[in-house]
Order: sequence, then C-alpha cells, then structure tokens
Amino acid sequence: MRHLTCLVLVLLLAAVAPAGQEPLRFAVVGDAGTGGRPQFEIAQQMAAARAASPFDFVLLLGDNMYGRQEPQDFVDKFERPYAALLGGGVRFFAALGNHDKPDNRLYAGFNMKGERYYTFARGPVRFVILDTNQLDPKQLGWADDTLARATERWKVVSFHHPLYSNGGRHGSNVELRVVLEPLLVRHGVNVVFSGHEHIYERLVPQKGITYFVAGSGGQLRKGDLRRSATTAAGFDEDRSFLLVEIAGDEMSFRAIARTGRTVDAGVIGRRPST
Amino acid sequence: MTTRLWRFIVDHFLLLPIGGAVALAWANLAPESYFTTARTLAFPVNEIGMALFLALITQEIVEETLPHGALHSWRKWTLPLVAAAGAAAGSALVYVGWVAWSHELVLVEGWPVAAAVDLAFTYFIVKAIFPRHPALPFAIVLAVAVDVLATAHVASRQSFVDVRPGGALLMAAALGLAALLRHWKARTFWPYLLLCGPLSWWALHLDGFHPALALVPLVPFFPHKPRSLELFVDRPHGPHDTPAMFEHVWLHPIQAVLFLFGFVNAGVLLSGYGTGTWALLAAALVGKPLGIVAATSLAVAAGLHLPARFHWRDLVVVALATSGVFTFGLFFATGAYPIGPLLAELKLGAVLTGIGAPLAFAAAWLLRAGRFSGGRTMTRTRHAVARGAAALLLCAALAAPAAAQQVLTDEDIAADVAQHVQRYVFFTIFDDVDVQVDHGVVTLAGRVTMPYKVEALGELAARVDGVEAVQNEIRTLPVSQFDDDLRYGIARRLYGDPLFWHAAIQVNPPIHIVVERGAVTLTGVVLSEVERRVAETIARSSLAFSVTNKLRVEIED
Repeated sequence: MRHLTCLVLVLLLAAVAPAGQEPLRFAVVGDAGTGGRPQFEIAQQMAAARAASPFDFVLLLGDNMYGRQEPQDFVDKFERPYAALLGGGVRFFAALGNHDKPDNRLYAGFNMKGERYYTFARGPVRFVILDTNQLDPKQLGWADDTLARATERWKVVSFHHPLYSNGGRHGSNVELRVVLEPLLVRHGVNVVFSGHEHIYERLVPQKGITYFVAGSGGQLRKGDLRRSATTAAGFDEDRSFLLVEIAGDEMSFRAIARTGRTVDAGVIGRRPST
Repeated sequence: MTTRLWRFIVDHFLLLPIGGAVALAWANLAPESYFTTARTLAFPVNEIGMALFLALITQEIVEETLPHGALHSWRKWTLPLVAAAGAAAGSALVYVGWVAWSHELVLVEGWPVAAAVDLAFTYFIVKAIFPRHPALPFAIVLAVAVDVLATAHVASRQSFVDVRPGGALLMAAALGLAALLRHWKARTFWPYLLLCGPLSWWALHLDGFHPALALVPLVPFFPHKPRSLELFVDRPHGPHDTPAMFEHVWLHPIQAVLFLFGFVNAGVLLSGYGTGTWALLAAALVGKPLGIVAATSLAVAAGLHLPARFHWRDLVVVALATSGVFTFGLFFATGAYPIGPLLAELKLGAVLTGIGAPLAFAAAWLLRAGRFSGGRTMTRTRHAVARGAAALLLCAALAAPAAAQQVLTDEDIAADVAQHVQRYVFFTIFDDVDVQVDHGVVTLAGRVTMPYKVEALGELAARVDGVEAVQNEIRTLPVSQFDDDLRYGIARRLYGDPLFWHAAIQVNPPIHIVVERGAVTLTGVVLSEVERRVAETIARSSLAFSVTNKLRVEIED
C-alpha cells in the first residue's frame, strides 16, 4: 500500500511539473555522409547513446552527402547508416555544406522545408540553421530578424564553415566571421556548431559564444588539430559526434568517439540575455 | 624617373594588380583587419565605383562600332565571335565538368568567372607580342564578346537580394531622360551621369540586378563628337567631345577605382583554395584556349578565313593571352556568389590565372609567333629567358609590357606615337602631324593651330614605350581671322556633304584641313578616289588662294 502511495505521488509530481523543466537532448554530427563503415559505426554509437539518454533530433552540420548524390545515395549514405535512429522517430535537421547539392534541401529526410536556411524551436531553445556556402544579404537580413524576434532562453546556431577553428586544412573562416560574428554577439547567441574541418574541437568562448567544430562524423583528418590558446579541447584521432542536453540555464555536452569513449565533456552556462 | 614609372603604371592599368597584391599580403598577414576594411569598402567600390569603369569600357566598345572602328564591319566580327563562343563553351565545359566530377555542384554558377577575359591584360599581352598585327583587334573583339555574354549571365542577383517594385519605371525614366538630353544635344556627360545615372543605378538595385551596370545602357546616348559641325571648332579652353571628355575626366579616378577594386576583392587567404580554384584554373588556362582554337578551326573548315597575316600559331598565342580573368573574373565572381568560401575559392583562382601571361609569351617564343619570329636565335633565346625569369619573379602583368619594351621596332614606335597623337583631346581636323622614327628617335613634323599643342604632343611622344628622344619640329600656324573662316567654312561644307557623313560621325574624322595664310592643304585618308576628288572640289570652291590635295585612298581590308 505504501509503495502504491509513493507511485501515485511520483506520477502526480511528474504530471504537474512544468514542461520547461524537461531537459532537451539532441545529437550533433558533421561531415558524415560518406556511406563508409566509420559512418555506420558512429551511427551505432549515436543509437547506443540514445538508449541511455533519449533524444529525438539530430543536427547535421553539412557535407551530409559526399560523392554522387542520386536517390540511391540517399539510401546508402543516410537512410541505412541512421536506420536505427530514423526507425525510432529521430528527425534530422541539416545545414548545407560545400559537398552537398543545393537541391538536397528538398530531401524530406533533412527537414529543411526546401530552404537553404531555416529555423525551429524546441522547448527553451531557438535553433537557426544557416547556409554559409552563400551568405547573401537576404539571408543575413533574415538571420538578423529571426534572432531578434526569438524569445527562447537559448539561441543555438549551426552552419558548415567554422568561424573559429584550429584545424590545419582550413582554419578559421575570418571573412565569414567578420560578417556573422557581430550579428551572433548582438543577439545573444549561446552556442555555435560547425563542421568542415574533419576533427572535433571545442574552443575557448569567443566574445561570450562557445564554438564547437564537429566535422568528423564520417570523415577524419587524423592529427590535423593545431592546438592553440583558443583550443579548449580537441580530438583528431578518430571519428566522433556530440551529445547535448540543455536544462534550465545549463547546457551539458559529451563528445563521443567511434569506440564509445567520451573524449570531451563539460557544462556551459547560459549567457545573460542582451 | 618616378613620373615615367607612374605613367607606365597608369597607362598599363597596373594599379589593379598592385591593389590585388597589397590585398593578398594584408589578408594573409592580418586577416581580421583586412576583411573588416575590405567589407567597409566593398559597397562603394563594387556597386558604385565600378559603374564608372564599366561605362568607360562601354564607351570604347560603342566608339569602335562607328565607321572605321575595329568593330564596325561584320566581317571583322564574325570569326572572333565564333572564337568567343568557343572560349565560353570550352571554359564552361571544363569548369562544369570539373565541379561535377568533384561532386560540388554548388559551384556550377561560377562558370562565367572562368569564361571571363580581362580586357587590359589581354590587350597589353597581345600588343606586346603582336604590334600592329590583326591579332590585336581579333583578341579584343573576342574578349568583349565573351565578357558581354558572361555579364548577361551574372547581371541578375535576384536569388540572393531582395527584389522591390518600381525598378522598371525608374529605368524607363532614366532612359527617357537620356534620350531627351541627347535630343537637346547636351554636350557634356555630366547631366547623363548626375541625372540619369542615379535613376538607372536605383532601378537596377530595386530589380535585383548588379547596379555597377547602371551607366552601361546610358553610354550609347552620349552624343558623339562628329554629330554637329560645331564640334569641329577648335576650342583651346577645353574639349567639348562628350565621350572623350568622359575618358579625359575619369581616366585617373577610374584607375583609383581599379586599385580599390583589386584591393577589396583580390584579398583571399591562400588556405582558401578548393575545388572552385582548380576548376577555374583548368577552365581558363586549358578549356578556354582549346575552345577558341577548336571553334576557329570549325569556322575555317566551314569557309571563313583567318585575317591576313594571322597564322594558326598566332591564334594559339592569342588564345593563351585570353586566359587571365582578373578584373572581369573578380567582378563576375562577386556577381555570382555572395560572401563565403565559394567566392573565396573562385577569387583565388581568378588571381592565379595571371600565369597565363608567361604561358602566352612562352608559347609565342616556342612557336616563333609575332615578335619572336625571324632570326637572331641566340639573342632571342637570351632575351626570352630573361623575360621569362622577370615574368616569374615580378608578375605576369608587369612582365608583358616590360618584354615588349625590349623588342620594339621603329615601325611599332611610330604606330604607337601616331595613336597617342590621334587620342590627344585637342588634336583636331585643323591640325596635321607627321611622325618619323629612326633608331628610337622620334621626329614630329607638321602644323597645329595653337602653340600649347606643340609642347603637349612632344610630351605625349616622349612617354611612348621605346622612344629614346623626340625632335619636335611641329610649327604653330599663324593667327588669322581669314584662315579661321576658311577652315570652318570648308569643314562645314565638306563634313556636311552626305558623301562624308560616314567620316563626320567618327571620333577622329579622317580628313584634315590645314590652312596657312590662305593656302589649304587636305591631308588624311578617304575611302575612294571619288571622295578624294569631291573633297578637293569643295576646298577649291572656297576663297582659298591655293589647294594642295594630299589625301590618300585607303581600301578597307
């Protein structure tokens, strides 16, 4: 009887608890669409992580499809690797990379609604997905307006080309940074996810924003991380993805390698609104 | 020395590559400050300043389509037009093939960048290798045609700028006002620039087209020099030829714009290379020349003829000389893509196409084309090696005219001096200057109406490449109201005769009327013996004490 009373109390508490208290979980993976074995293995780790920490969507950071991009390739390089996640109802929200065909925005599995750049909200988080292949005035105006009108407590932006990176192949894209960073800072963006460099790197917050480079979801440029004073953590020995959880004013994250090992973890506090 | 160097830089449009070199260095040494500065300057330079440069190019094209211009006769157009189609097709095929093979189809829209031909780059290289040769007009027509085609493709930016209503109405107003100004015989370009220009610019801006093209549709409305006999009157206080005045006033500001354009657009991180860079290089250096040679071969097989003295080996060299895309390539790149890595890849490729210059010289040397034909093998070998080394060490654009300077003949120098004299804005149909060159020493003879012209023409000749010294034997004609009346009277009747209308509408009317103490001398060129006789008859029907007819008959080739 006492057990039954406790159960009823727990259920009642769960029912009356505000929805905003529920942590929001999602995964982040970039430069993944090779269709090769490493992509499948990362996908398995994502599914395993979901079993422990359920999430219902994934941010794709661009280069979601390498090489040929015919209908069968969407099966081989996206639907089969992530079959377990897709079967579990997980949705993928994609940004376009330089290897993606512009028409991939029309592919239903990427949930882009036919747009190169778009936005959606989940709980306390406003997500803004940009196309940095072509950062045109129209897109900049749209991003400015969208971020200005966002009322969510967290603002997360993702796009393919990193504004800050210590990757050896490309490094920071300073030209994009000059254009985008003032806008991100002005609107109080908290976190930015990018790919393009085939490594994992977390940077020391720049002007209050935490930048992640997570471009080793399928591709890898082994040993390419040139650590500097702006590198907070990094991993360039194997493929990896990010698992993120936002609860209240804290965002916790884990970078998980292909072997399942956690290679970076931490908690980020929300910036005060500007 | 400094003045000569400056003049050389300005005359050869070298400020743009210099601006590009400064930008490249700055961007790679201090990228944050460079990109911040370049972003600040981008709008006024790319969207407004470049309108002046494109107006100047349009003006040159419009003038060349007038009688006796390089583009007047359809026979001069046909083969270069076919070659231009080959250039566009060849470069587009290689470019699109490369990006498709690399599975980066987002770069496809950049093909006009690879097809672009830098007019100044091509002009100075071809002129350096083929002085006074049909290769030059062939190359220029080809370049203009390709750039017009590519401009039409990238003019619309509606996919990445907001389109607002009202553009068509504003453009109609701009063109209507230009037509009215033309009807009212406005003699200066200022009302076209200040009244019609902003209307046209705003119209294109609203419609989502590149506003730097704003003056292009207005330039054809500029009144051209010989439309009215009034314009033949010698005016010592300033030129009243609208197009010439436009060029005269804006030449140096445009050079500043080109420097800034190179500075704003050519600054890319050397690590910013990518598929677009390699595709563009392959298309410009291989696809475009192959397309030109293939299309010309097909046209010749179909019955067209290469111009006289223009051989197949010359065609190969001209095709390589068109590989530099610099100014127009950068312009098209900024039209095709907004800020981003794709634009950076293309910009880097556009800058690197400068290696087309040493390639063109090397091909000319190997094929013994143009200046490299003929004997003196050892000397030429030594010179070619020196030129090649200089080209690699300095830069392609600097090497071309430098190489030309070493091998200029007296005939080439005379042609260049004559061209400078013709382009002198105060040189009128009442002046006559003869040019002779002996081992680089230029002798100027003849008669002009004002003393300041003697000095100015001497200075102009001294600036020409290869000139060692100038002997100025030009005389000033005596001041005489009777002579003035004779000049204007004969000019009015001669150029008012329908037989000479074709000559009257030229920028530099070919028949000159020299009057000294009542004695008239006709010099210059006419198209037929009939014209020669009629001109003399008109002169004799005046109050002239005597008439000497030195007109030559030239048959169009």
